[in-house]
Amino acid sequence: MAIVVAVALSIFCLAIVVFPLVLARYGHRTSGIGAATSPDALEYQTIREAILTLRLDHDLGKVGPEQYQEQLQSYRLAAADALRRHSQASEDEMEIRLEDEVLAARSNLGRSGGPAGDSGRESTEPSHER
Amino acid sequence: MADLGAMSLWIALALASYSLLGSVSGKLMAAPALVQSAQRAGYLVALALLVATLSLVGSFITQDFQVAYVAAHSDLAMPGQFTWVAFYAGNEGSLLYIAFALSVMAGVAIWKAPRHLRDTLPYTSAVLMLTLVFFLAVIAFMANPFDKLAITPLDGEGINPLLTHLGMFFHPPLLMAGLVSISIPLAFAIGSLIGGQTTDEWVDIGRQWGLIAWAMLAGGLLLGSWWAYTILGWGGFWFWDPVENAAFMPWLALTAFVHSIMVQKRRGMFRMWNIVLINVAFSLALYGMFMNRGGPVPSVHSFGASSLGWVFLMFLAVGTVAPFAIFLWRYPLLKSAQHLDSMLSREAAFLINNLLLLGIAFVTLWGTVYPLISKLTIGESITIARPFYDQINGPLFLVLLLVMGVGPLLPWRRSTPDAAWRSLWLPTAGGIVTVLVLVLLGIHQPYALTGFGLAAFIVTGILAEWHRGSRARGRSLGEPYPLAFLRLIWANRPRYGGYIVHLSVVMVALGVVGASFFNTQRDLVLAPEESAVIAGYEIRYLGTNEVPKGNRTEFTSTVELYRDGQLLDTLHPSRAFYPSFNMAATRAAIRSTPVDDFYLVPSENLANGSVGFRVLVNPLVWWMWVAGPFLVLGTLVSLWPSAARVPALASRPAQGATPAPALPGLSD
Repeated sequence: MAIVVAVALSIFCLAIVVFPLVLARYGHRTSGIGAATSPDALEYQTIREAILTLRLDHDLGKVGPEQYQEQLQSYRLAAADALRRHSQASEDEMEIRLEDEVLAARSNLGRSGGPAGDSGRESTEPSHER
Repeated sequence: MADLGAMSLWIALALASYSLLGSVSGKLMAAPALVQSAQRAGYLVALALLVATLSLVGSFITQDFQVAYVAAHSDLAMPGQFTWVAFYAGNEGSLLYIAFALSVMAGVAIWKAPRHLRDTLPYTSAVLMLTLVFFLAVIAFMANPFDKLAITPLDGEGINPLLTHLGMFFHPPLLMAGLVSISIPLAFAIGSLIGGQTTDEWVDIGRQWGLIAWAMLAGGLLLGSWWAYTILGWGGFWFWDPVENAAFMPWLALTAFVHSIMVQKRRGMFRMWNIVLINVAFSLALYGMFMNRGGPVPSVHSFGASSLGWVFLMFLAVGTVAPFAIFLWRYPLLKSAQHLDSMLSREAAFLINNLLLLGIAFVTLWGTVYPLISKLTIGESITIARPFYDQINGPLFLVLLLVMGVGPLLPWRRSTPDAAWRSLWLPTAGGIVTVLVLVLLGIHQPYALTGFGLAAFIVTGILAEWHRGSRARGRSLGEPYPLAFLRLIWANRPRYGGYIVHLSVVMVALGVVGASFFNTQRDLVLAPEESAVIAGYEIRYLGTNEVPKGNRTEFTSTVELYRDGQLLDTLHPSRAFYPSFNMAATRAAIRSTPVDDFYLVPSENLANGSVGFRVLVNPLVWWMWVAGPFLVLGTLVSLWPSAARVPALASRPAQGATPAPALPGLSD
């Protein structure tokens, strides 16, 4: 009984582990490594939290009005800069994604044997990987 | 069942090894499918170890004494509810528990890792799997809990009587899981370093897992103190035992880490320092495991004679040197984004707090390893006892309390003396008034007065902050005060969760100061119907009931407790003798109130019916145990995730559409 369960467990594990490799073998792209969140977006979030903290400290009387305005201004400038970089990074990422899609479409067309795709289904079906 | 467990162990080892190799090679060969396959293998380690764990628990339940581990840690008389405790009562089972806990936490950490860490995640996964492979290899080759005996005994040796206590259901698992979970923030830090992300990408996840590890260790230490207090029979809760210290030191380093990581998150500072801190915490955790499993210093907590000492010593060496080598490799890239603007700032207070915590950790480490050093240098093992720690760590803890009170009242970046005083005068007044009142009440010990004064300082500061914040929020948003209070906390969870944890630390400090400076202890022998008076309490011993049980003989005494002639309670302390272990275990009877604990434990049952009792009156200890739920609550509040509000810029606005505000969410 123990051996049966252990063999079943091994087969199950093997299937789960091998599955992405089999998919890759047949040309499916994996979602394992893809576009990452821009670090500038994280920086923006951090600055936003810092401003909320600054406001709270101001409300609690820990930061005087002059210091508050000065720090708020510097945070806003940093936030604007992060936002600009984030925007640029998003545009770049969209271009990379578009190029990826084009490459994938070409690859599918190549495998199906022609631009119209005699086998039809593979070349016309949209990718569901994203 | 044991066979299934043994096979699951090997499956887990194979999966973890594959995951380790697959992660690294998949990343190096830019093969995402291999990385994904390796990650899946990592998740499946937890499944295989779950099967192994259930198999071992099942062996205990079915009393399969052919399994050597089951025979060594249980017997027919063991109450069924202690099966879970017996599971990790020995070296082999506890290692399996550690591996299972790490596999689950590693799986969750990898699965829930933020997207921006995806590039470095294979390295993070590899660090975690390397740790898992070590534990699984040790279990499979050197400490297999599924090893069988050649001849099946009719009964087992039984569970250690000291472990048959409610605290044992939580204290060891929390401590073991806490120690091993330090590898998770370390893995994210090291993964980021190897992957070349040398700024602040790992900070959020590092903070979250650092807090989780910190809370588990804190909870484990607190529960261990409670266990020692109620069962060991000496009336104390902390002995500065080498293995207690071994769990305490990583907690100190993690406390420093969870504070200084906030500075990196807020200001982009302390980047190198945080890597060093998490490395130190991990090294100290490994040192703790080494001490616990065949380490050279004997302790009531260790697993006795074990051949695993050298293996854990090697792992300690590798686990210390390798992360520091990676840190040194990436050192030139780890520049802080900002500098310390002023010493009158929260980040400066955090820095001082860090130095104090590491100072206490170093003193504790020195005291713990001194017997070894003295043995090597003068040929004589000199044990360091409590007075050493009290004299050096005591004042450091008091300064730490002061910094804990001042730090949260200072703003980030810098403050002015006037603004700082506006925040500090009320807590200062609270502390001074408390000290004056205590002096008038007849308390004159300087350390105790300082401790109580600082506790009042911290509590007043926190309450004043809550009040000011709630009032300001109520005024500006028109919310009723209670609602404003709750929403204030909810809107600033990391900060106010931290304040709740600070309150719990104050409660622990109250218990430590009360029990250290004001406790009363007496040892006395009472015949039936005899009475005695201790610290205003009167006890009357009525008699002892002797009950033979399956694996022990239990002596339960009945004692009436009076104050001012009024019966407060009837206490039933007990003492049991276990012939198979040739040892006695006691259960103290404790009447606990916020003011003091009346603690009664039988130390000896005499033939004529008299009983030797140890009686203690420990002021304020109750607060230590109440601190636990506050600690958990504060940590949960701090950890509760907030919705990220990063502007969505992935799609361009349609032509003619109104553009989004330039700085969403940042307007006044």
